[in-house]
Amino acid sequence: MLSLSDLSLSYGKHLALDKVSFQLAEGETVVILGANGAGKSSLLKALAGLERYSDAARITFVGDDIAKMPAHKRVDLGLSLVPEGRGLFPALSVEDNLLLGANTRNGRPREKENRDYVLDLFPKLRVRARQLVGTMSGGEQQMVAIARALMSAPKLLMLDEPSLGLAPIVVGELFETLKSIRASGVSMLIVEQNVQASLGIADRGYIMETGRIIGEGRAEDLLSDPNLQEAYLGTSA
Amino acid sequence: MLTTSLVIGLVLGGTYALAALGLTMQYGVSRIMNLAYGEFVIVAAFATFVLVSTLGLDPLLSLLLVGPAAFVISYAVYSVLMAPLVKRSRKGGNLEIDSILVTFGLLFLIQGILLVIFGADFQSYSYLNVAVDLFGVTIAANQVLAFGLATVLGIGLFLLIRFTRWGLILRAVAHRPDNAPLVAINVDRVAQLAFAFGGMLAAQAGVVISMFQTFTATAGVVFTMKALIVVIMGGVGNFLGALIAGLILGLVEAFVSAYLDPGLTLASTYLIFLVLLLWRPQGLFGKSVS
Repeated sequence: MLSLSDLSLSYGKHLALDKVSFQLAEGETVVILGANGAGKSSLLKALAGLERYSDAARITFVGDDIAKMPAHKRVDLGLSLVPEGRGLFPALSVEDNLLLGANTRNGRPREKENRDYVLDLFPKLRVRARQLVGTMSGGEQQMVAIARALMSAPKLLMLDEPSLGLAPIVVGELFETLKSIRASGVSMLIVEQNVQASLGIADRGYIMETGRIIGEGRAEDLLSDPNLQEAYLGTSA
Repeated sequence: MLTTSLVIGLVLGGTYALAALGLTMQYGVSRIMNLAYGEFVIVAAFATFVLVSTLGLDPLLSLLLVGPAAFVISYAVYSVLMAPLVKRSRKGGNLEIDSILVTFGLLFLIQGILLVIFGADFQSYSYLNVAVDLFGVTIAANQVLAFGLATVLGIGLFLLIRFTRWGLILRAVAHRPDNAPLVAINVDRVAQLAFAFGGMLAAQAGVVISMFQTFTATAGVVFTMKALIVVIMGGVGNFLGALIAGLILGLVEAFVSAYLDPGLTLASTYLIFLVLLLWRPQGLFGKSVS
C-alpha cells in the first residue's frame, strides 16, 4: 500500500532522515519507535507532504507515485495525518472540524455515515458538537483530531504520538479506540513513545535512531526483545 | 436630527461594511494586504458612471456586469502580481510586506490611469434622486437603495460563509492556513479565489457608492483606509465583525458630522483607528488566537 525508499530530509546541516526505506501492506498497523529526535515526526510529515525532502526519494501509495504531490492531494488520495499538536482549527466547533475532515474525494459522499461512525467511536463528541475545539482538554482534542482524520475516509491513517501529554486512563481508552479502528480495516502508521501499548495493537514495528531505521520486527518479537526492553521500556512512561 | 444621523449613518455604514467584507476576504483569507483595494472601489464607480452616462444603463444592471468583471480582473491580478510573491514567501520572503509594496505601486498605476481618462474632478450621475420619507427622515431614494443593496449583499455573503462548505473552507484558511492542507484544502487555490471574490465585493461597493455619492480619481485611498479600519475593528478574518464594525463606523461619521463638524468625520475615523491599534489590535470581536 505504502512504499518508500531513499527518503532523506535535512534541516540546514542537520540530517533528520537518512535514506529511509520501508513498506507497509494493506490492512497493516505499523509502529515506529525511537528516542526523541530520531526523526520519527519528520518521517510522518515528509510522507504527508508537509516537509521538503530529497529529490531522490520515491514514495508510492496505493499504486500512485506521490513523491512530488502537494500535501492536500495526498489527503485526497486517502493518506491522512494526525500530527503532533493535532493540527486542529481551535476557533471552530467540533462539528466544523469534522465537516472539514470530510473534504476529500472519498470523504464527501460518505459524510453522514462517517460522522455516525466517528461519533459512535467517540460518544463524548456527540454532546460537544457545538463546542469550540480550543476550549477542550488535550484528550478531547485528540479525539477530535482522530475523528476528523477518519472523516476523510483514509486508507492509511498516520498518527504522530497520539498518547503524548494524555492522562494514563485516557491513554488506555485511546489505544482501545485505535484497536477498533484497526479492526475496521484502516491501515495505520503510528509514531509512539509508549512502546508497550503501541506494539500491543500493531503487526510490526520499526526502530529508528538518528534518522535511520536500525531494526524491524513483528510486534510480538519486539515486545519480547530484551535489548529493546532495555533501550525503551525503561525510559518510557 | 438624531433619527436623521441614525439613518444616514446606517446608509454609510452599510456601504463601509460591504467594502470591508472584500478587504477582510483578501487580507484575512489570502493574506494579501491590498493597498490598491480602494482603487477597485473607485474603478467600479467610474465604470458604472461610464455605463450609465454613455450607454444609459441602469446602475443595477451595472452591478451585475461590473461585479463579475472585477472577479475576473482580480483573479488575473493575483496570477500576475501575487502568485510570485506567495511562491517566494515559502522560501523566506514576507508575503505581507511584499504585498503592501506591490499593491502600493498598483494604487498609483490605477490612480494615474483614472486621472488621465477622467481628470481630477468630482464625478457623479443622477439616479433615483428623489426624496422619500423614512421614519420621519427625508432621504434620497438612491441612499435607501444603496443601504438595501449593501444589506442584501452583506447578509448574503455572511450566510454563504457561515452555512456552506465553501464558507467553512474560507474560515479554516483564514483561521489556520498551516493546518488547512491536513483536510485536503489547496490553500493557494482558496487564496486566489478569495482574492478575486474580495475584488468583486470591492467593485460591488463601488457601484453602490456611485449611486448616491460623488467620487474622484484620487478617492481610492480613503476607501482603503476606511475598509482597513473596519476590518481591524471587526477582527481580521471575522466576517460578522466586519459587518457590525462597518455600521459602527458609518454611525460615528454621521453623528460626528451632525453634532460636531462635518470636517471632522475623517479625523474621527482615524481617531478610532489609533485607539483600536493601541488598545485592541485584535479587534472588538477578534478572538485572541492562542
